[in-house]
Amino acid sequence: MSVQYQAITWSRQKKVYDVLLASGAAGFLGLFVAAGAVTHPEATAETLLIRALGTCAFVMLHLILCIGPLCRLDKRFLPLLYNRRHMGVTMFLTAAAHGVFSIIQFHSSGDENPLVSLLSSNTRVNSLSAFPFQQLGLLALLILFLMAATSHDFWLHTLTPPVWKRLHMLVYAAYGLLVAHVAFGALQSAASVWPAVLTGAGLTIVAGLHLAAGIHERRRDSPLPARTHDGFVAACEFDAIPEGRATVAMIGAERVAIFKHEGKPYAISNVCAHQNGPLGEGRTIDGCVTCPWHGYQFRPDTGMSPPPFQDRVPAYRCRVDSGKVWVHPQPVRHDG
Amino acid sequence: MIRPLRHSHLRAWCVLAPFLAVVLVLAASARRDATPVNPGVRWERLP
Repeated sequence: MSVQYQAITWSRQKKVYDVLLASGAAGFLGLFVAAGAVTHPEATAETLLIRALGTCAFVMLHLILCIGPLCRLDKRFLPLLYNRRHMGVTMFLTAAAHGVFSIIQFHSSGDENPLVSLLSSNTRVNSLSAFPFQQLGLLALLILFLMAATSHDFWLHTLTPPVWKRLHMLVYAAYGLLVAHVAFGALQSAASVWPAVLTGAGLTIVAGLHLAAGIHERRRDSPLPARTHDGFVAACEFDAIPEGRATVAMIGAERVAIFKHEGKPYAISNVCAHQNGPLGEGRTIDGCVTCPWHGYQFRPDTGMSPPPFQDRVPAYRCRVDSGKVWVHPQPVRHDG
Repeated sequence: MIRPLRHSHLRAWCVLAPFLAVVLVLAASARRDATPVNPGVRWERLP
């Protein structure tokens, strides 16, 4: 929770995650190459490897893009979110290997510099079937590099979570470029219709999940009816909050997480100071509200992280009256 | 605080989803015949 650069600490969970990730990617590549060698005996090993790496990276990008909306729609998917950045970096490395091998295979045999050849050999932008798809892939790879390079918490703290998250929304642009890269590249020369069908299915799933999660979130952002008492807003029924858990309510324009801890109500911002995770979907552990995304902790009464950490989230005054929890929309100032 | 950011995800996909669907349909409709002109020639095996 410091702005100082810290090396990644490899917990057992991260090691297990990374081993499974590496095994899955290696297994995918092996199966793809083996199946390709059987179904396309004329293809060289280099070609099969290029196709395998590209397909593996594209599949991983689909998985990465599905995790976020799935977690918004169903908490049971949260464990997939914890180390999503590891999958992102793995996906970038796989995509980069695909790009490097493709440049070697298709652009390194001439007199021209391979990168110059990549950028200048096809300029038929007015042709759909011969569109310069490789440039689209290169642009997507540059975006993925930027995201992989800034994936460490150091950059999250340095850039601040809102800026970092906006920067990492560029993954949508990268995805769009890669769909076009595949559509105008691999699909153009594919003998079977299945690659096109699978690409369409992938796009439908990713877009459908994001739209569903976006509509779900927008509904949750509907403001509460303005029932006020001494400046306090009626937020929820106190008995409806389970012990150690929270109910999230819109107070003004903000989501506030109202926790019940040791029989008392506490209201803090629903937005974690680390990666803007939904604190209200977490629970209290050792007397602290614990974010469900990465385990950052905050005291429910002050919104401050336990010492020695110095992160904080806004805390709000609240009270119980007539069975309801009333929350004051102005955050409490804590100068210490 | 982050409501605009949350909503920007939805706006991005409202644009991206139909745009990419059109791209995919256009690309699929422009597919060339994958059968080689000379089936006996394997370009990957050429020196």
